[in-house]
Amino acid sequence: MAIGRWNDTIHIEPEDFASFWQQRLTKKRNVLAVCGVGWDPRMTVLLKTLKEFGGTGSRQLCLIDYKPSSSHVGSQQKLIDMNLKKLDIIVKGWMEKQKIEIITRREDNSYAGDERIARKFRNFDISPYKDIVVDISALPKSLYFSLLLVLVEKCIRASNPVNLHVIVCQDVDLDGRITESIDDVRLLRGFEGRFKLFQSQQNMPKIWAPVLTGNSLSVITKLFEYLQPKDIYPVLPFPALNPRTDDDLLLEYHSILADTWQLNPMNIIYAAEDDPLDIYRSLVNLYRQQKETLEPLGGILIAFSCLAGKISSLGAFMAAFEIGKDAAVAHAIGHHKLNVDDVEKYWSQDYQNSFGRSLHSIWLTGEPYE
Amino acid sequence: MIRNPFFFWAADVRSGSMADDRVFVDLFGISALELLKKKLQNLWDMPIILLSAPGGGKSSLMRIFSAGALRYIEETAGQGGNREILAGRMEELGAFKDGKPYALGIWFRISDEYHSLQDIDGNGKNGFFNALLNSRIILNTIKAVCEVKGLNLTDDNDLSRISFSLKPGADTITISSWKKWGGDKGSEVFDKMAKLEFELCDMIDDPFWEGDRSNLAQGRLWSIDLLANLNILVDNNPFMFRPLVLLDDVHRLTGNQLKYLLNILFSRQVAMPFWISMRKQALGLQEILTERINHGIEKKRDYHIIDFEKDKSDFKKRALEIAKLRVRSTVPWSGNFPKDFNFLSDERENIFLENLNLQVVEKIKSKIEKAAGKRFPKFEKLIEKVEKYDLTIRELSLHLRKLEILAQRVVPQKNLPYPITSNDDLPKQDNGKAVMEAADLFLAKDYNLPYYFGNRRLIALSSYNIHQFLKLGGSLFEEIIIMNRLGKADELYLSPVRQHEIIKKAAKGFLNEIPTTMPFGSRIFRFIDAIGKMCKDETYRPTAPYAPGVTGIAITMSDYELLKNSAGKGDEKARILYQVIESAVAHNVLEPKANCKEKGKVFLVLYLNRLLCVPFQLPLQKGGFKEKKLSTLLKWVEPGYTKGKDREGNDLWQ
Repeated sequence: MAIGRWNDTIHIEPEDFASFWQQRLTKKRNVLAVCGVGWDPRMTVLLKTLKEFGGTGSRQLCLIDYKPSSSHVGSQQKLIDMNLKKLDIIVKGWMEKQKIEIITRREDNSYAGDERIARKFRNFDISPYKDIVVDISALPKSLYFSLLLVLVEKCIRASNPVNLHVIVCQDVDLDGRITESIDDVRLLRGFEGRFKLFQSQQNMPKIWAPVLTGNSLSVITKLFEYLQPKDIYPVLPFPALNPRTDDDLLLEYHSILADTWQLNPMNIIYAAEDDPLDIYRSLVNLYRQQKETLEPLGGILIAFSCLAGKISSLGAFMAAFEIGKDAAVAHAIGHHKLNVDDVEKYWSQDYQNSFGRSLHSIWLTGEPYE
Repeated sequence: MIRNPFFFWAADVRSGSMADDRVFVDLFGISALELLKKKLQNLWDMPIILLSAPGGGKSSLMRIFSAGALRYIEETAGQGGNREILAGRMEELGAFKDGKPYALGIWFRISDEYHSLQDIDGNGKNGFFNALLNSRIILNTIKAVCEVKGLNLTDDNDLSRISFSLKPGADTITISSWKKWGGDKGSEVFDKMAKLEFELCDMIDDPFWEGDRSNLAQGRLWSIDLLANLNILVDNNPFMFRPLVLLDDVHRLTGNQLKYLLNILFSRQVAMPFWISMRKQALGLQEILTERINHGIEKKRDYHIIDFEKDKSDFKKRALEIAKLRVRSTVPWSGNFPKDFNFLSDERENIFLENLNLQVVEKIKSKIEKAAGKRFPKFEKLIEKVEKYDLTIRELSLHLRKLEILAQRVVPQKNLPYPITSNDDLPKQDNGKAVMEAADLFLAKDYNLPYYFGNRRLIALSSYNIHQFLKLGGSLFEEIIIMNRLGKADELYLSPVRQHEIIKKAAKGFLNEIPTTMPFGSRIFRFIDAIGKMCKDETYRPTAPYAPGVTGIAITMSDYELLKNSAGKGDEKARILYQVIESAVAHNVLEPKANCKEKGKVFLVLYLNRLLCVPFQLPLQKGGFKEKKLSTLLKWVEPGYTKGKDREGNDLWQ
């Protein structure tokens, strides 16, 4: 296989975020921002920051309004309304706003969000834009994996290079307070690879690399039962903000790792907690090594599941995109909830400023790849 | 190292190699076949629906009829023992003929990729669904033939040894479809079907797919008619078989696809055995309660249902057999466990001797005196009578605790209630059994004694769900494995105290997992928490009015109809409550009992899953329920039950 597409990807970390974007926006650029409408207090942080950076050129905002049904009003609607109110103040007179509604469930409650977002954006005209900025802070993984797949593919195919940047506001503490329920597990649309094919079910070895985080035993168990892999390579965060995180995870999942999976300790992969490129390289290397070893058996299929934060999930996205049909992404579909009593504190000036200092930018297509 | 055999889901072992089939068959509990034996008359001429909550054992019951499993049973039948019995049962059920597999079990699972076909515009959606299902039925048929005949599915030469021809009885659509998609040789058919499946999956998955859709759609599920009219030859010798399509996890289809498939199956056009398994979540609450799946279609006339949670008669036998097989599977590694090893100790008396003593007896007596007040002389005689019997401290405490309950009941009444009479012979009488059970529970709570232990209660705690039984059994067996690893052969049992502790932890885990493991989980959790707290409050009333306790709630059937209709009309609050009950029932968190007659009313009773009785310190017997109004239940789903203290002012949650 050729050198990886994203081996030298530009990852702008929080300390360089402001200088990078301030400088970039000094030139006239048509920018499209894509954001989700959600309850996450980080939803408007990027837009506020970009506005402060100024610059010239058109500014368009594509808001992805996702909900299970058109009449759905969730228990967190109050938080969503707070975000929307804030957003309206930010974009007024600065950005043109358009809303794309994604109904994530069919009438029978089966999940269709990934398919529907892929279909909507497949027909989205990106030609007027020089830069597309996708803020995944208020988007669930079950949507942004398929969204990014379509946008990356469109940007690569575009006759004029389009710069695609993915923005994540990383806050490990806040992420740790978000619990995820599981209604179901599935392979995300665009990332099924050859997993479901009859022939793949027979003799082709399937391996699974879950990027682990805490409090996810039931998700891990369901994903394992769904995929039934031959071998497992869990990815643990090291180095991490809390250097004991990897040990804590080993203790937390000891029973499933040792008894249920009978995991060979040599299978454990360590990758930096907030470095998607480290995860990307680790996963692509794992695939290459295994493929080379198992080539006589007809190759392998590899599935990724990212249970860890959004920044890590980008590494899994990049690896799955690059590997193509041999890779799949398995994900738990459910509801997210912020388990904090005084949740409104996250909208205070202090928290919002702190989020503004935690923005990561990953440049996926465009000028650096010419 | 011994792997905990209870944490191994037999039906989930990847199919495809003899080794996997061997492990699966070795762990299969033969008594599960009794569920099918009851339907023997219609087993091969009517669609069978296997229905349960997750973990009921549907997949295992299907997989035992798969071609690979049947071949392994045939090969090992000569070894005697369980293999021979299993082969005999297969013969009785008609899956074997003259000691050889006769049924060609075509077992495969439905997955979620079918969903996308639902969203395709135009009339083609059923056409693509047909095509994908046809391709998979035929590919799995070829696989099944290979398994029975010992051929290699991935070897073109082996596939070429299989040849096909249509019988004259096939209908015209099958004939024309076979002309296009079929062929004489196994390899040819396999290649065509694999290509069709690949293109369909690519169309589903690739957002930029631009192929020709019209070439892929198929007008009918013709593979079913094909199987009923197909001659198969292997090396030019006729291969005699009875096709049996085993479609597992059908709940993964969308509602419309499931309806479409069921319509085909129930249309009586299906001229071959077809079994499907699905979770209850695929059906609505109304359908679960009535077992009527479609209008105009009658159970027992058009189909049969095996409801694993309703067909309870053999559960204990099945569960204990599985436990025995699981423990036995560790013998080659452990070497320590005797053949009929039972790791659940029931040394109840020793524990009670440690915790109950004469001081306790005196304490209970003084409580009786306090409760009975002026009527104590009558109770004093009864106490004397009880004490004359040769009872252990535990038995004595139990009877006295029962008297305490009865004394509490006496206080507000003028006459002594039944069963206390002057001739009452308390130790021998059994008409106060429920009160005695309540006394057992109260005693356990009062003096911190173990309550949830022993085989009988372990079975009850499983709530007729094999997965739940295995999880509980596994949690208990985990400690045995550790003892074995440490070489403590004389400590390979679990005391009641330890069992109680482990079960309490497992039950709390089960309760706490509810918000994250099922649709509407957070609301279901609140609902269960409220039910549990209410049940606890009612159960531990000093008079034990619902002895041995309350473990469920009930709404009248007319209230249920009202709720269903309001939910159907779009009343948001009613819809939420209906969905909560529906999802809780589908996931075996609540066990429904419809049309239950009591005190002149007809109820829908919703019992707690027995494992959920543990966090609320409730008994495991059923029968005690409390009627609730819909308005109360609507409140429980949203803000939760606010009555957080019991009658003694203690926190209800422990």
